[in-house]
Formats: sequence, structure tokens, C-alpha cells
Amino acid sequence: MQEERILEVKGLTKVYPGVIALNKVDFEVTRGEVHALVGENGAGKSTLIKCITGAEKATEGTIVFDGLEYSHINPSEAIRRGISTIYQEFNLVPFQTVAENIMIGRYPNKFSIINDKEMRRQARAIMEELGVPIDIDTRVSTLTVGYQQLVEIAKAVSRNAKLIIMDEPSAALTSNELNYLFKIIDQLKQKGISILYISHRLEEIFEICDRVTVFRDGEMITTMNVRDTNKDELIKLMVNRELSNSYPHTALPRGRKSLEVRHLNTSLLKDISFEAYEGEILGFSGLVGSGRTEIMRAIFGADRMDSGEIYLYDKKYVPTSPQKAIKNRIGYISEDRKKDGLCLHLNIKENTVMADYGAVSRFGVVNERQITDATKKECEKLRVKTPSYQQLAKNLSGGNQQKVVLAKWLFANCDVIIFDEPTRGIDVGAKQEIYALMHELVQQNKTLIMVSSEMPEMLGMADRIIVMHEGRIMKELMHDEADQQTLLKYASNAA
Amino acid sequence: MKKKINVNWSQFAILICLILMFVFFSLNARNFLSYKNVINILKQVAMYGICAVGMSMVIMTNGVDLSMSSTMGLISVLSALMDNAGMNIFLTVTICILIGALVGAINGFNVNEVGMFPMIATMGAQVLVRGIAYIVAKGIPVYITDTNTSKLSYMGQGLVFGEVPFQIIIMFILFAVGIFILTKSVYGRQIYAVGGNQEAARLAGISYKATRYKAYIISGICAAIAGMVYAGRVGSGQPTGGAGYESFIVPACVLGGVRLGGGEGKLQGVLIGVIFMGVLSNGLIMMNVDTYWQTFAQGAVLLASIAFDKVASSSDLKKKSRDTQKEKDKKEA
Repeated sequence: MQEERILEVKGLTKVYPGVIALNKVDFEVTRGEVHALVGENGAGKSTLIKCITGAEKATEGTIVFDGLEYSHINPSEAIRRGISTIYQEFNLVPFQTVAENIMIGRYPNKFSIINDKEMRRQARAIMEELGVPIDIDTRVSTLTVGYQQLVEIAKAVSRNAKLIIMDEPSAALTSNELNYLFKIIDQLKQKGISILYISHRLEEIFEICDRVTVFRDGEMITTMNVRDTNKDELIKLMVNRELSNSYPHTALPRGRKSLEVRHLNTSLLKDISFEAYEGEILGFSGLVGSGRTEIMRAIFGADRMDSGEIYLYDKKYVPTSPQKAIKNRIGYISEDRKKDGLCLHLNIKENTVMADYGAVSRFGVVNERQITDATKKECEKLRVKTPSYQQLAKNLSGGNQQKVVLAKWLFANCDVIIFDEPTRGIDVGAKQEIYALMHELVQQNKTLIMVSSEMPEMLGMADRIIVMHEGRIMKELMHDEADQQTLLKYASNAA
Repeated sequence: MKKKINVNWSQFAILICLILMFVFFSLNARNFLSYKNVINILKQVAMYGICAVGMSMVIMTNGVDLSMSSTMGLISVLSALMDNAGMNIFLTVTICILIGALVGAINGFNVNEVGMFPMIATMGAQVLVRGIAYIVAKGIPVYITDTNTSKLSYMGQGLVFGEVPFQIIIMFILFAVGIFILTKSVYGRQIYAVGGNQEAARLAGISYKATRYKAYIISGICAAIAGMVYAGRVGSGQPTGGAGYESFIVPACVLGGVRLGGGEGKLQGVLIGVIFMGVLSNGLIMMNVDTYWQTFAQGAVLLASIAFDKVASSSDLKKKSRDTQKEKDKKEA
């Protein structure tokens, strides 16, 4: 008879010099279950995963996977035994086909000559088995992020994975793609494959997971059946403090009209007109690809617009470049902080002052002291956790990276600030701080525009919501009129 | 407050290699360790060093400038012609610098506006400019007629305070200016930002086009200065002058810690890299190694030291990320 537990972690401890990352953790996953792992950044989730997959060696304790007991395993051995991990950054070769990616490293061959037919047959079989509607001959680079993820999953399944670890799989997915992911996860479950699901989005856990384990400060706090708990309880367990009000923002009296967009058109956007006011948060809701980000980039001058007029405080403003936008005190916190929000190789200081060197230089010569002071001021306000401001951006956690991006725009002292997916992939605590900051900015009479795919965030923070569908504005809703269903209805054009 | 000393291990590695090599040659080559020879080494690398300042900046913006060598050749010819025509040296220098800047601007245009890969754009310019040099010189060297009084000759042969070659001083001045630009000026920050993440820099209001134009123009100017030093040093304008210098300059930059791909690097390191290359070739000559084996040994030492540098910096990186993880954990614990 097969053991019911696929993975058992016994008394696992991982000590880095000076700190205990994991402290006598006991933990188990049964066959065919979807098991969620939650906790704040730095709670020990990643260390646990690294020990399981062999990327790190545990200091103490053992892991039993499918009958094999080990305290350290060779990563390739782990994959052979059936542990697959899908990271946020995919391990796909962009310019190769789906089939080649699925079969990578195991191409069927004779004397090193690849049997193309056989390779494609095997890949197709796996895709059909999973019911994934992707042509195996397409290049991976042409697929959306969601589909790329499905290719990763197919790769894992093709290697006879018994346990698939998914690290923040939903972070970059549209709601459609997410539904697809959930369907696939369900199928994997039917096949008896276990899934370890790590996510900051607690809603998802209640949708697809069977059990949930909470980590905090390197310790396993508890494992519960998902149906026996609720979101508030989970959050409480994760942060060990009651988060009073998830969304601190309360509506303020609306100020002057700050931004007006009239008949904006681009190849994707059709006749966009709206107004934004000081002292309010204007939300843009809609599916990914509905044109929300494109509006923001057009206003910011990052992309060109075909026609239309924009007014800033009733003065005409033609966006030609981000440079000009910043001069006109418009700030844009982009949706992908790693790709276009930060210079990862540079330190916190350089990233903070990047949008306004003028304020820290004279005649083109920078003043190191002013840079340090400015960084200190902005980063302390945001409570960026770092040993030093010389720290490179790439070494910071997601939440802290996002705070540095915010610091950059606070320092640039903008009046109109665009937040594109401001809390993507960051933990509950950091989210709270960012919400609090947004509220504070509104109180200072700034104009905030927020694009978000997270419904609760949209409903909780925005004073007014514009719903987009395929490049058009479908509806404008006031805070009180909006609820999840209404937003979805307009976003999918079902109204 | 205790100040944390940040040791850049990868730059350290090349410095250690340089010291080891220096000690080795001092022990094995007669006359290697003498004031005269040290000055000689610096003299030999001065032109490379001058070019490396500009090259580093271009590489840091995620480019490369392969046209420097032929710009050197062209400028050596033009400056010799102007000098022979009795032109005022300051005017000569100004015109040559403008021509160098023009070549840089053309490179910048091709990279920015036409969208060519830097390697291809500057390789094209390399051939083109070399062609112009041949045309202007009619294929033969242009000798400086009066090397005794010519100010141009002074650039390559003159001594300051009666003993320090002027070209070494030019090199150090250019390094000083370059270091100032990279560490103290807004433009320096822009180079690092654009090279590190062009899109992030653009969205922060930094014009990546302007940043790149300036980098290519600076490298064109550096090549022009090197070209004049070259003419002065060999006493003639050589249409073939500078050919093949890239294979010295680019490795010197990389050895010095400039990241191919941009965003990282320091000119202090590049200076060490340049001297490293000079010591290597000089030491081999002093040891009377056969010329063919010299070339071979240069290639081998070069690959070995870059490999060493890679290993050192990657272990350094691992250690760093461990440290930050530690600190992160500590903070959150």
C-alpha cells in the first residue's frame, strides 16, 4: 500500500550565520492535496522550499519524500524523484517551441540526433492529457505569461512530478488565465499529484486549496483545513497582530480638477475621456489587456498617442516623453518594478533620486550628502527595511523594492501619481503600509490614479472607479455603487 | 558610528593579479624593476588608457565602440597634415577633437535613431573611417617635418619637468576627468541607470538617447586625443595607426571590472586593467620571450585572469546575497 503522505518534514532547522531561518519545522503534504503555504516575506517559506528541492542544505532534521529520507538532496536528483518547482521567473527558452521546452534535457534521440517527430508526439500527448489548448509548435516567446506557466506545468508533469511547488503562480495572471490554472490544478489533483501552493493572495487559497500552513518568523505556526478557517484568522496568524482596517482610505472632499483627458486614441485605446481631481483616488478596473496601463503610459508620455488632448490644471499638456511628464509633476509607478521600475544593479540611493537629479545637483555635479539625506528622508517615511542605503536594489525583498519605487516618486514631488498594480506580489504588512501612504498622499491634496487587478484593493481604496473593456471606458462608478459583481459585469462587457 | 568597509572583491582580484605579475617579472626579468622601465610601461599604455576611458563609458551604456582604432589612425594623419601646414597647436587640437566627436555622434545616431546594434554600427564606422584615413594620406605615412619644434610631437614625446612623459600625464588627466564624471556628475548616474535598466531609466525621465550620444561622443574625443598622441609619438600620421587596438582596450576594460552589457564598472579598475595589460607585454619582452610566444602568453594570461575575475566575483556575489538574506532575516526576526 502506498504511504498516504508524499512529503514529511521532521524537525527541520536551517541556521544561517547569526539567524535561524527555520526552527524545528514539522510539516507534511498528503498525496493529491493542494496545500497552501502562507506567511510574510522572510517567514521561512522560501528556505523551506529550498531545503525540500535541494537548493539548500538543512542544518538539522530530515525530509521524507515518497519513502526516501534525506537531509540534503542533489537538485537534479530531486527532480528525478518527482519534485518540480515552478518559480515566478520561468525557466523557459523563449525562442524555442513549446514542444522543445517541454522535452528539454530529455529529447528523444539516436546518436545525439533528435527525433523531432517523437519529441512532438510526446509533447502533444502531455498537452492533450492536461487539456491545454496550446499549439506545441509555437514559440514560447509569443505566448502570454499565463500560457507560459502552463507550459512549465506541462514540463513538470512530463517528468512524472509527484509534488509540484508553485511559487506565486498567480502574480502575473489575468483572471481568465487564473481560472485555467485552477482547472489544471484540479486535474493534477485528480491524478494524485500534490501541490504546494505559495501565494500572497489569500482569496485564491480559499478557492482551490485543501489545507493551509502558516509560517511566521521561521516557525511553523499551524496547519488547518481551509474550510475551518477564514481570511482574517489567517492574516492574524501570519502577522501576529490584528490588522485593524485593511483599507485605511476614507473619502475626502474632492479638490480642484487636476487632470482631464479628452478623446484619447491610440492603436488600442478608443476615445478615452475622463477627469481626475485632487484629493481623490481614481481607480481603473478591467481585465488585463483592457487598456488600463496603456492610458497611463500615454499620459506619462511613455507611449505615443494618436490623437486626443490632455489638460493639467486646465492648461494644455502634450505628453511627449517621461521627462516632460516629470517636469509637469506627473509620476508613474509602473506595474513591473523589476522590468521598468528599478535599476536592480544600483543601490537604494541611486534609485531614489533617479527621477529628479536636479534637486540634488548643481551645474551637473551631484551632491552626495543631499542624495543621502533625501534617501534617508523618503525611505524612513516608507520604512524600507535595509541594513544600509548602499544596498543594491536587487537584494531587497519585493515589498521593499516597491517601497523604493515609491520613494523615487515621492522624492520627485509629483502632484499626479499613477499607481499601476501598486501591491503586486508583496506581503500583507507591506501592502498595509502602501495603502496608508496612498491615503496620506491624498490628504496632501495629490491626485492618485490607481490601476489594479485585485478587486478587494480596488473596492477598498478607490473613490471612483472607471471600468475598461477592450480599450474603451465602459462605466464610471462611485465608491458606493461598486461591488465585485458590478465591476466584473462591466469589465467583461456583460452589461 | 562604525563605517562598513565595502570591499569590491572582483576589483581586488585584478589588483592582486597585477601585483603578483609585477613581483614575478621583477624577480625574473633583468631591469624590469627600474624607474625607467616603469615609466616606459606607462608610456606604452598611455594611448590604450586614453581610449579605455571613453570605451568604458560606452560599454557601461550597453554598447561598444570598435571605431576608436581607425579614428586614431585618421586623426594621426590629419593632425600631422595640420601640423606640417604650420597650424596653431590649439586650433589643431580643437579641430581633431571636433572630428572625433563627429565620428562619435555618427555612431550615436546609428545606434539611437537607426537602431543598429552598437557592435555593427561601430564596426561599419571603423572600416569607413579607416578608408577616409587612407584617402587623406594617399595610403602612405605623413611624416612630421620638424619634430624638434613641433608641438604635436610634444604630445607624444615631450617631457614634463624634464622627466615625466606628457602622454602619461594626458592619460592620468583623462582618467581623473572620467572618474569625476562617473562618480560626481549627474551624467555619470545616467550612464549607470541607462546601462543597468534602460526602460526604468526612461520612465524616470532620463533620456537614454542623449546618454548614449554623449558616451559615443566622449569615446570619439578620447580616440582623437589618442590619435594625436600617436602621431606625436611615432613622428608621423599613420593611416594604419591604431589597427587592432580594440583587442587591448576592451579586455582592459573588462579586466578592470566593467560589465559587458552595461550598468557596472569603475574607471579606477579600468586603469588597473590597462596597467595590467602593459606590464604583461612589457615583462615578456624584458624576459626575452619569443615574439610569437608573447602573443600566445598574452592571450592565455588574459583568459585566465578574466576567468579568475569571474570566479571571484561570482563567489563574492553569493556571499553578498547570503549576507543580505542574513540581514533580512535578522531584521524580520
